Amino acid sequence: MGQGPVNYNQETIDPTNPNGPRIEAIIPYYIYSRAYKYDSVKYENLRAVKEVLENPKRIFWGIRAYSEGGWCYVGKPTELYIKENEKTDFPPNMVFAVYLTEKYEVFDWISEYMDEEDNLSPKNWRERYRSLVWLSTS
Amino acid sequence: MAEHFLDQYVEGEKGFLAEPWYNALGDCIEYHTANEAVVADRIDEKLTIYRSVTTNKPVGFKLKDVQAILSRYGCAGLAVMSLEQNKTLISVAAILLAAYEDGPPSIKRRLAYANALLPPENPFSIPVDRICKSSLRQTV
Repeated sequence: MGQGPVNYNQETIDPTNPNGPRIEAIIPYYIYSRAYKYDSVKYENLRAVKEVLENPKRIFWGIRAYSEGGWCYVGKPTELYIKENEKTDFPPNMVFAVYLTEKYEVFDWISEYMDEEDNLSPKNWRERYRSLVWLSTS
Repeated sequence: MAEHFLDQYVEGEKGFLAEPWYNALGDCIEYHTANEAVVADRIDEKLTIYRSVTTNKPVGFKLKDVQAILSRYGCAGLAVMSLEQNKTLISVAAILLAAYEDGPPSIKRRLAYANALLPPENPFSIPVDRICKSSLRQTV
């Protein structure tokens, strides 16, 4: 049973200080509760959001053409829900992108085709984001 | 199915609604026509077509930077009067057309925006052999 409107905090790497303490990204109540009520497969794939924030492979800054800032955390989760009660191994030709505001609030998450030159980045990332600010070495 | 880490914070029934939604935090309009996983097909800076992960068919779209479009064209320039609801609505089709006008003309963009406005299964389409005499090339 629900506990009322609660934002969910998820620890993740601080892209401005990757070797320092982890920061808390926020999954806002109004974002995840909306997905639960009206977009249930997307809600299921918040599991992948958690996985990517825990273990990102790439972090990009500057995700919009007409506004400053914003972050994109990218990773390879283990599974993807493709229908309400149907999941599969995460597709090998894709990455999972989690989009956050400048204040680390999650507002979107989606599978993307991987880039031809870097299979841990979304396709055409050089044209889409201002900069790659961090990449995993493991 | 393993318990979802957010299940303790939500109430009511899980569901699906095929309806455009303005995501204020992301300043984007999202529209899913099917309750299934999607992969992004980025068309330009504003439009992303959602494709089914399993079939690759278009199943919706995301339109970004909505406030930039509204500030350029004004709400009045994108508003329509709803006769059923007796209130003024912002036309998603008008915002899509405004976004299209902002970018360079190309066949890929034109088809993607047309797809977002009216999916191919919509009756507002005509079989190709009724219009094109010899080849598809004549139509592009």
